[in-house]
Amino acid sequence: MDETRVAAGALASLPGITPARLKMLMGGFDPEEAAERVNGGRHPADPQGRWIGLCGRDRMAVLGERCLESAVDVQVLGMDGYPPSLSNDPMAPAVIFVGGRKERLGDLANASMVCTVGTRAASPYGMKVAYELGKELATAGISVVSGLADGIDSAAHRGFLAPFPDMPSPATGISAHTGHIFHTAFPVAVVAGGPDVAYPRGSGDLFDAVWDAGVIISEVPPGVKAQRWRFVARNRIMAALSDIVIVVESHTSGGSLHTAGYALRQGKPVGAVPGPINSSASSGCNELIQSGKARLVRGTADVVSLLEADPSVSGSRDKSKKKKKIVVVQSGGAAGEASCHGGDQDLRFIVLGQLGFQPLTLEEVVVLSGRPVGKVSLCLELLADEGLAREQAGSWTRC
Amino acid sequence: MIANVPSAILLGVDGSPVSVEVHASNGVPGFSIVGLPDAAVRESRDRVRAALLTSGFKWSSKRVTVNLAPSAVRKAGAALDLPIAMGMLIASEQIDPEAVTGCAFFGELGLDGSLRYFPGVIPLVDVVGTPKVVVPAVCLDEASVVPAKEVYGATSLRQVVDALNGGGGWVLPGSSSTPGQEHEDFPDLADVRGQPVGRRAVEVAAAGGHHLLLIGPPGSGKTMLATRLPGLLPPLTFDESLSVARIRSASALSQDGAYLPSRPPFRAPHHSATAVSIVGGGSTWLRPGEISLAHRGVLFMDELGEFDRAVLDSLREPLEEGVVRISRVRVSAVLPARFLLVAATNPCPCGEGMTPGSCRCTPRMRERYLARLSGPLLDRFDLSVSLAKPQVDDLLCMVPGESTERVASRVAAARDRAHERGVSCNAVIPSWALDQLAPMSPDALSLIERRLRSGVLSARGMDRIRRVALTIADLAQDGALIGAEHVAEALQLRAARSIVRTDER
Repeated sequence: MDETRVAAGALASLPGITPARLKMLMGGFDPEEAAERVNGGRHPADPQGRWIGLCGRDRMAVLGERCLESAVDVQVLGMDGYPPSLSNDPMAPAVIFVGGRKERLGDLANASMVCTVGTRAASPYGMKVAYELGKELATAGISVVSGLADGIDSAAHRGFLAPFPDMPSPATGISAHTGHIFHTAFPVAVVAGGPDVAYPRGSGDLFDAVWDAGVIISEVPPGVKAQRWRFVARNRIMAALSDIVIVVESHTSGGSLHTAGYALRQGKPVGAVPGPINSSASSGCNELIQSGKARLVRGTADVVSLLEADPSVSGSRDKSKKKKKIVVVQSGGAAGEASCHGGDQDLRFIVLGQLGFQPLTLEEVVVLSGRPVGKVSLCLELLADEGLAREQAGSWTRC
Repeated sequence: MIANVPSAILLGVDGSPVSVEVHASNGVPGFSIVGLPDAAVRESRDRVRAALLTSGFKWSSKRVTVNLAPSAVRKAGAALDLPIAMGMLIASEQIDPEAVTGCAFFGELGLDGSLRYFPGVIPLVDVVGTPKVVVPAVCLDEASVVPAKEVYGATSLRQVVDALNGGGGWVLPGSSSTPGQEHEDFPDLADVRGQPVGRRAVEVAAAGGHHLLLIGPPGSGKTMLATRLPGLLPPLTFDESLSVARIRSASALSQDGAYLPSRPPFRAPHHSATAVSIVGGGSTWLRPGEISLAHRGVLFMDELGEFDRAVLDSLREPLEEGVVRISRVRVSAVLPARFLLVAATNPCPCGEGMTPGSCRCTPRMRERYLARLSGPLLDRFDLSVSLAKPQVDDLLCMVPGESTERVASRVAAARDRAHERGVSCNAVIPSWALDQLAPMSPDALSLIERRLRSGVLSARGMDRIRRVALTIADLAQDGALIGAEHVAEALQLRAARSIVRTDER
């Protein structure tokens, strides 16, 4: 890594640095000079000299060493290698740290990027939708940007990596249309801690998989843990990197609504997956749709049409991969058609009529059908055996 | 002159006979107690001295040695005051030894010679070898519970001596305090509106003695259902009642009447309880814990996840064996602890995890919350049901639910069928006896087989399902075979465990 990048990295590692302060330090000077002035207390943006002696050669050497060890690159706004999609954002970070398959950073501009975000406290419905969406986007050759948080973020990336068990190059496939090998789709994660710090704890396997297959971007130098306020800034970067933002599931006060808000301000289309009107985990999404800020997304087909309608998508991109036909597998019930192995036909009809996509507890089925617990239990167990109903954590849904 | 007065001390919930030997001889005047007395026993010297003097007796000016035999066991408590005082009177020849023959004594003395209450009346009176027992008048009714003992009560040391000399009367049973009133009116199941699954689970738990886990958001009626469970259990038999009475007596709980309870006990310790207070313990006087106090009854643990991990793990052996073995360096005891465990927990920290979409907990928060509930403990629950908040219609509906009386009669009939099998309840049928005692119909077998093959049911899970299915068949008074309906219901009444435990069913 050259001296300039190391100097920029050292500036971004100063204690108490914020994106705004970093921009002021780097404005008007090249990184090396800025670092020297800061170190010597001669920087006009730091009249108190709070960072004197904190940005010297020794510090830079330490940072360079650490970047080398953790295989992390430093990219500086305005220099070669900085993602152009990000530099279009007026609030683009002055310095980013990049881990994973860093050579893919250049592909960011050529690939279709979809940001899927959502709540950490996701419902099974949201998790399933996010997973399926990630999976279908991967097969469609569309990259997925997300934040690696629990819940929706993780589910989307897990789904994205699922069709490609042979790591480390997931989306290397053969285009059904042209027969050419494309290398365009890959997972992108924007994290609030250092790009080599797996957060949240316990998601290390997913972090490693994304590291091996895609790009991990952060404003924070390697080895540093996430601070709370960084998450909001992280959301802004995710929006800037993407062509469109899809909110899969969000509470009305969720952080994913920040991402959607940034995207709207940057003139990017936002989609939202609707949810049950009585589910608070979907209330943010439903509100986005109701207020007209977001388009309703029912699946990958809607995401693709949203991408195609995106005025900012330039003609230079390979349209073929976006127009690729995506077959969304519709789950539907062959209800009541299957034969019955004994049991109560009437009750079976009633129970099948009640079961839907929204899980019902045993108690709810019993109350709604007005039959004894034993009869309803037998009916449900038989339906499960026929593959018409499914129980998860004590709640029943249609298959 | 030497005296030998029989008495006893308390170890756990059992008495241990002690003979109080008093020896008075010439020499330097003095008084010493040997035989491993604890502080309360050692201090009895001062109480006994004052009581003797204020009652009009003389304090011996001889060299007095009191030996508490067997001398290797630690003696605790103040119930030995009266036997020591009696020994002193005999040794100092102030009372005729013939008058106290065949008589054991218990009681704490006041400085004015009055006799006071002491804990453990029933086990202590039960254990002594003499036919006659003298206790403080306040303990008389409690002591009268013990069969085949002549029990005499007195209010003071003076009355004891006068009565023994034939110069006065004893306090008669039933005259000193209000007779044992049972004030344990259990709330009625009719108060529970709606909740068909919860009601059913409570009924099955009572009928088969199956441990029950209730999972539901705050306000879903977990506590309401649990407090109604003891009312469904059959009344205690005389032997059961006596064993409950012994435990209550040993923990000094029976002071307020109801010495021989006919209703099963209900204990609901707060979740801040320590492991010792739950299983029992203490260094010298092993106190029974909550699980022993719930013997033959119901132990309700609300907010199961908030209990200490150590407390929860310590429940495992008693749940399996029906007794708890407590060992300390100097003492050890086996306390009875055969109870029906009813536990309640929220599905997640915010409590709303049952309704998909309304829970605001992250998976990590939920994991941390449920990690307290260890797998082995959760395995002990034959029944785990999820409860939802009651429907508005049910709450406003003026029609009461089925009453405790009606459900209890079904439970009693089901328990009778279990007794015919030779077990106290279906939950304790050993696995090897299931094939013989709980045969299944072909429908039921195929239902179970499909679940075993698909891996949703483990071998151990199957045994539990069969026991519960047997109870359900008993409640329905159905034929000899367990039907598919009974198995399906048993499966459903256990399904909620996957909320708290996802690995197996």
